[in-house]
Amino acid sequence: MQEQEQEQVQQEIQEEIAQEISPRQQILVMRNIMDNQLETCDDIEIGRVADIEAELLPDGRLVLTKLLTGPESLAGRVSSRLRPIVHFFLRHRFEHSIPIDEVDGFHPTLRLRGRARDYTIGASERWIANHILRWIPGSGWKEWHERLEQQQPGPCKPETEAEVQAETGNETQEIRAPGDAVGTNTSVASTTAHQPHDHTH
Amino acid sequence: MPPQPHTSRTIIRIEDLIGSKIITADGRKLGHVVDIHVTREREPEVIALVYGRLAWLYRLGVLYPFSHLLHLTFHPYTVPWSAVAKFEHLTVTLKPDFEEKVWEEEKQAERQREEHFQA
Repeated sequence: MQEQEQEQVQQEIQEEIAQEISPRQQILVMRNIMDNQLETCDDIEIGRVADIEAELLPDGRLVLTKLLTGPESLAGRVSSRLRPIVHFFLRHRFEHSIPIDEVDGFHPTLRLRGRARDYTIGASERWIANHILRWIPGSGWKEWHERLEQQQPGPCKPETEAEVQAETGNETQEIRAPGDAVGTNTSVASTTAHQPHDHTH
Repeated sequence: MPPQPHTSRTIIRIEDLIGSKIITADGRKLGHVVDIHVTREREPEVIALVYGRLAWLYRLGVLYPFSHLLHLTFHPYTVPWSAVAKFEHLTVTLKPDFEEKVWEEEKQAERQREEHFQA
């Protein structure tokens, strides 16, 4: 019992220390972002970070703005002189970017706020699955495709308590609406739903 | 005629910045950028450039385990982004008023304060 209490106390202390360190003081290095897996909120891995775009603001601050993926960005990491050569052949066809504010957290994987179908990054893999892998017996394409089709665009879960209340409030109103047979698992798109962006360059 | 305000956006690829040469205002070469420190905010901001030989171990994440193993204290050299005057042609030029020794002493004092706080 005493050991458990001690563990609890230690955990509380660690949490307090973590809360005291402001996001400004918590430092990320390149290994926390670069080459890391991009994972959407519906647990689908859609690609890896090839490069990062930053903007130099008029006040001199350098702020990260976009995560880049694609062969041209990767070629630029080998040598910046390679970038125009690769661009000559590919013409930005496979380049994609995601605004940095889409990142929910810098964990071992970069968790994104939207669902996989909201981003164009995994489009080539989805094309392969829909046109090639679907013909392979036992590939599980049908279940995967049905699951993907059932998903609504937008974030997986509301971010703030206000959004939770708004969402539950809407759901209640919809269920109480007279004259309609509404199922218990009715999902209503939140008014603050995430707007899908076209993240293509 | 008053000068027009500078409105064009300056976009930098981070991988261009990494590997760039760092030179002081008087043209002395400090080294190459090996890693970058970024704040963990909704709008992450570059706050420092890491350079020097130890920076390679730092980037690989083995500097502090090695220094702990050897019972020594190693830290990579850093330059604050606020000391950067310009970034052109894969070269980072520092401001004339930046003094490495003063900056490193400040960092050292900060680390000692942190260690004292942790203890």
